[in-house]
Amino acid sequence: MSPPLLELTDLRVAYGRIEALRGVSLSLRVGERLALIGANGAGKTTLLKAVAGLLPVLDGRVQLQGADVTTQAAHRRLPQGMALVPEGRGIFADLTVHENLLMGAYCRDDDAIDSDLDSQYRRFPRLAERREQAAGTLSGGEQQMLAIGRALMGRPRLLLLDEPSMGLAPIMVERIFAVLREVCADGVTLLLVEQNARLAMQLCERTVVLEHGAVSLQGDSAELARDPRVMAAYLGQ
Amino acid sequence: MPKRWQLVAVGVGLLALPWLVDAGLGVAWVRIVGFAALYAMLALGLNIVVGYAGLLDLGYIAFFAVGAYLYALTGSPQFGLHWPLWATLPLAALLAGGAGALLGAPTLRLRGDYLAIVTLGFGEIIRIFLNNLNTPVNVTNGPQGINQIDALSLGGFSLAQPFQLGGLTVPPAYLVCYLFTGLALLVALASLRLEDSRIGRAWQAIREDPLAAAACGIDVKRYKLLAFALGASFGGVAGALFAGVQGFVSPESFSLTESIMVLCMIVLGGMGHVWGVALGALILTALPEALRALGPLQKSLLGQVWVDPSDLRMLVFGLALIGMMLLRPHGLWPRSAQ
Repeated sequence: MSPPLLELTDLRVAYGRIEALRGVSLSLRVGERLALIGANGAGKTTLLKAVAGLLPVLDGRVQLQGADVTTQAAHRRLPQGMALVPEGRGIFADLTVHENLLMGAYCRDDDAIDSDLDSQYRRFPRLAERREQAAGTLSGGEQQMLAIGRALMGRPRLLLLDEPSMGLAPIMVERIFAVLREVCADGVTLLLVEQNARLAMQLCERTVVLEHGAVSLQGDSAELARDPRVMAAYLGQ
Repeated sequence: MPKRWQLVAVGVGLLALPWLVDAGLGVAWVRIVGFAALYAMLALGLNIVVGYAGLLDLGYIAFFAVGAYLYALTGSPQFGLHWPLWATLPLAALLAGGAGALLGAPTLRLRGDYLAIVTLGFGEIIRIFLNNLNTPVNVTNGPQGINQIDALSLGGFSLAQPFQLGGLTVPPAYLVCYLFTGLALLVALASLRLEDSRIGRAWQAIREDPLAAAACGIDVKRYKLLAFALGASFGGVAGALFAGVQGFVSPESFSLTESIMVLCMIVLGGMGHVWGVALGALILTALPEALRALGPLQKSLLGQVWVDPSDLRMLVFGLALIGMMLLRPHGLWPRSAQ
């Protein structure tokens, strides 16, 4: 059997003396969609940042397709197939929409960049309309589309997505999730951090619940959605 | 207009510049234009650090000092050295660039106001260092500074002597003006090329969001260091030229006020915009000189000099800066809004 695309082994991360992740282990198969849910401060964003190499890891291991990338610098991880859509989108506000998308292909040096740009514009027609506009002038939803499009320009196998629904109108959230469904259908593996547990569990076949920096529950999304603890704490039922 | 003719037009403009300025405003203003070009080089160097990469550097004048002292020590009776300009200029760029990397390396993790404080400290350290390096071994002559620095000279002929061309006599101030405006133009063109390169785009991304830049595969540390080193090397070249044209350097010329003045040129002109920064340098060099006229003006209008013109100058200067920030917060000539 081929190794999992992403494997975290007993991952520990701390901010000073405060431990934010207390030994998290999980793995993702190629093509899988995994939702990471939990309360504020449970360590979801920390986990994503640590996987992306943006936070130093105290202990434990991050493996990408069997290769240990725990101590690898963040900027080396995109060429290896790992793209992050950061919390709060992290778009380059002064650059145009087009330039933002090109930044996503910064590490690439191939002939397919133009055709990939076209496919992002097809996926997000709103971005095509605003191609030459400064990204800072876009609405929140458009910025989220841009952040996703930019990440996809790096042709990732693994997409790390931090709170794509944050601060967006419900209709925009629906549209974003529809796009994510398409992206995953193309074979991209997804690790989704999301406050909106219901939507996340609908999109992803597997769910991990993080509580105080540790995995408290995990399993098949449909089964977990019937778990009374999950229903009470995260689905508001 | 085709590119070739643009170049010819710029060349003719630069050649005619000192003659026109002299005819209109007098030869003192030719010197001022030369200095404005020198400050434009300096400001364009800082613009790489602050404008492109978004790293607030309050100690930038230290690199100007490194270049100036390099020229002073290798071209004066201090050590009896008289190195030619073609050797000192690249060396000044190299040494200042090295100092830039030295400052950059320990500050890579700092941002915003924290970075500003550390760079401010660095600038002061260099100044105090120059001030005290006269004991136990006298290197810099301490607060007295270094005198009798060789005048700028290019390939055997000195820029401090009038130049005879046929029947035409070109005064030294003109020659300095030519050298400085020409070099400033080169620095401006280099900045434009940088801005529109992979390096420039990486800097912009880091300025906007360092985390997202790293996630896009940009080596944030490396590009920050590069910005510090390149910006500093421009400052070093400007410093060497400054020493050559002044004939005298002392630590006093490299105080925090000077760093802030260079930063003002960028902010006033339009941060990140090459021509805006050049305009800012021109205005902030020329304005204090133009305001000297406030003394004679008082005398003719009020019969007596009521307020010392040098005090009034700073007042008008300060008011102009405040007014500017209120009316045009992005600078006089910002990058075209998208």
